[in-house]
Amino acid sequence: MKRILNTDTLLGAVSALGGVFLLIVSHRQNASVFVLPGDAPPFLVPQLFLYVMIALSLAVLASGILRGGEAVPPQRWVHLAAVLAVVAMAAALMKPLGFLVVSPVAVAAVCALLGFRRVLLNIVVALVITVLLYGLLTGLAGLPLPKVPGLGF
Amino acid sequence: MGLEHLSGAVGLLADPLTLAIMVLATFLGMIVGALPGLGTVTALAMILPFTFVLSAPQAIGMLLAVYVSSVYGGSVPAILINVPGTPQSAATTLDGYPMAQKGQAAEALGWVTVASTIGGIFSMIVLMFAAPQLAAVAVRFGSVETFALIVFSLTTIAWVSVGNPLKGLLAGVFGVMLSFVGVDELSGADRFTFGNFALSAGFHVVPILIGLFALSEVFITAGRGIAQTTQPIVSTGFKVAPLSAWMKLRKTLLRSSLLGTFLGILPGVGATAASLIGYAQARSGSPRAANFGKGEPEGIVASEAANNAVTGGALVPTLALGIPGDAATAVMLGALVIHGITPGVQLFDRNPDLVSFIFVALLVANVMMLIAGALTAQVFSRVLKLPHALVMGGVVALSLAGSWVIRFSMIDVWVAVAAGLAGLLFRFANVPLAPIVIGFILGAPLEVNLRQGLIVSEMQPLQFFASPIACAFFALTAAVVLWPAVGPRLTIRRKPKLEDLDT
Repeated sequence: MKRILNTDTLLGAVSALGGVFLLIVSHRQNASVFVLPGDAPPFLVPQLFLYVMIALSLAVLASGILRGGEAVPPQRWVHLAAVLAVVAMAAALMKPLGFLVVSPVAVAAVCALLGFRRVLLNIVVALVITVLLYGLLTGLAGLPLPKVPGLGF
Repeated sequence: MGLEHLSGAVGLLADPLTLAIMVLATFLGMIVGALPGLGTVTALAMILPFTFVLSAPQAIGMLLAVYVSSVYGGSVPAILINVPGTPQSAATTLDGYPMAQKGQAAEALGWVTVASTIGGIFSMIVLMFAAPQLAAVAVRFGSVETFALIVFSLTTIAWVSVGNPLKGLLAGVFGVMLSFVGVDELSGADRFTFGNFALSAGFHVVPILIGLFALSEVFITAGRGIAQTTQPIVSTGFKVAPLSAWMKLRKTLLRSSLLGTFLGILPGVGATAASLIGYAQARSGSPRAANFGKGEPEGIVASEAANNAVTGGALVPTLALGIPGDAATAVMLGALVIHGITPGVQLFDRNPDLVSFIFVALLVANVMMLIAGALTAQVFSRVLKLPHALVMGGVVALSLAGSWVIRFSMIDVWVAVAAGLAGLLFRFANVPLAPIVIGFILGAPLEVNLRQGLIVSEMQPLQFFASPIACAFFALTAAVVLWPAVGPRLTIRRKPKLEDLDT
C-alpha cells in the first residue's frame, strides 16, 4: 500500500482524472459553439493538449507504481493548515472588511504561526507593513485597495 | 548614425534638468518594478501624464529610465523574498532566492545589476546600428513563423526539467491549459469557465507567479518550521564578482543578450518569455547545469541579461516601423506621438538627432540603473536581516495587495491563493514550477498563431512548411527533441575512429 500511495501516483491520478473531466466538458461545449468558416474549432488545440496531459499523467502514475515516488517530508500539518486558513480567510474578507483591517491581522497571525513570539513587535510590524504598502500603492501609484466600509480608505 | 548626430544627442542629454529627471525616474521605476502586481507597463502609464509638460528629449529620457529600471527592479524582491516584482523576473527567483538563502544576497544583487546593465547596453548597440534592418526581419514574421518560433521555445521546458522530464512536461502542459481558460480570442466562445463570468477574462500571469513562488514559499515554511531552516550569515549590500568570474560567463552573457534582443524585436513574445528561454538555454549548455536552481550565478545572469536586452530589442519595431514590440513600448509610442514624433523608417532620415538621443539616453539610463541599483541594494538587502517569520508575513500582505491591483478583481486574489496551494503540492511532488510559467505564457500565442496560420493557409497545415523561417525553427525543434536519443549514439560512433587512428 505504501508503495502505491506516493506523490507520483497521486499526482498522476489526479491530473489524469482532471484531464478526462476537462476533455468531457470540452466535447460537450464544442457541440454548441459556432465556428468561423476556415477556422479550427475553438476546443481543438485544448483537446490536443488534454490528450497529451492524460498520457503524461498516466506515465507519471505508472512510474510511481513501478518505481515508487517521493515521500512527503515530515510537516507541521497543523501549522500548515492554519496558515492556509489564515491566507484564505484574508482573501475572503479583504473586500468586505477592507485591506487596512484584514492585512495587519493576517500578517500578525502568519508571523505568530511561523514562531515569532514577540507579540507587541509583531503587531507593530504588521501595521507598518500594511500602512507602507497602502501608501505606496494607493498614494504613490494611485491604485486603490479595498476600503474599510464607512471610512473611505 | 553620424558622429555629429551623436554629439548633438550628448549635448541634449547634458542638460542638468534632463539628467535630474532621469535620475528620479530611475529610482521611481525601480520602486514600482519591485512591487509585485505593478510592473513596467504600470510604471510607464503612471509617469506618462507628467511627460506632457516636458520637452520631447526630457519626456523620452524619463520614459526610457523608468522602462529600464522597472525591468531590473522586479529582480530585487525575486532574490530577497522569492516574489518576482515583475513577470520578467520570474526566472531570477529560480537561482536568486536560493543564493539569498545561502547568505549570498549581496552577491546575487551584484550579479543581477551588472548583468541587467550589460544586457541593456548590448541591445542599445544593436538598436543603434541595425534597427531598420532588424525591423525588416520582424516584418517577415507572420502567424506561421511566430507559431514555429513558439513551438521551438516550448522545448525550453525540457531544459528546465532536467532530471524530471516527465513531470516537467506535465507541468508545462498544465501551464498551457491554464492559458486556455476564458473567452477564445478568435471565436468568442467561453472555454473552461463553468459559467463563471469572472473567469471569462482568463487568468493573469502575475497572480499565478505570486501564488506559485511567493505564497507557496510561505506555506512550505509553515510546514517545515523556521527552526528547521538553517539561518546563514547574511551578507547585505552589494558585491560585484571579480572580472575573472564574469569572463567565465561571457558566452552566457552574450547568448542571453542576443536572445533577449532578438525576442524583443518580435511583437508578442515579451521579456518574460525571453528571460525564461534565456535561463533554459544557459542551463542546457552549462557545465554547471546541476547547480541551476540551487543558487548558480549563471542562471541569474542569463535571465537578467535576456530580460533587459528586450528593452532595446522592443524599440526596434517601435522606432523603425511604428509597431510596438510589447505593451511597454506601446505606451512609449503613445508618448512619442503626443510629442509630435511619428515613428517609422522616415524617422531615421528626418529626425536623426532625436533618434541618436534615444540611443544615448538608453545608454545613460542603463548606467543610471547600475548606480541606483548599487545604492538601493544596500537598503533592500537589509530585509534579510529581519526574522524570517516577519519576512513571510510581509510576503502575505504583498501577495494579497499585488494580486488585487492587477485588475481590481477578487478572482485574481483567489487565483493567487489557489496557485499557492498548487505550488505547495507540486513542490511536495518534486514538480518543477518554471515549466508551468513557460507553458502559460506561450500557450495563448501558440494557439492564436496556429489558428491564424490555419485560416491563412485555408486549413492546409502542410503549407506551414512553405515558409523557410518556419522550417528552420521546426528543424531546430526536431533537433532539440531528438538529440537526447541520437546524440549519445553519434558520440559513441566517433570514439572508435579516434582509437583506430592511435593504433
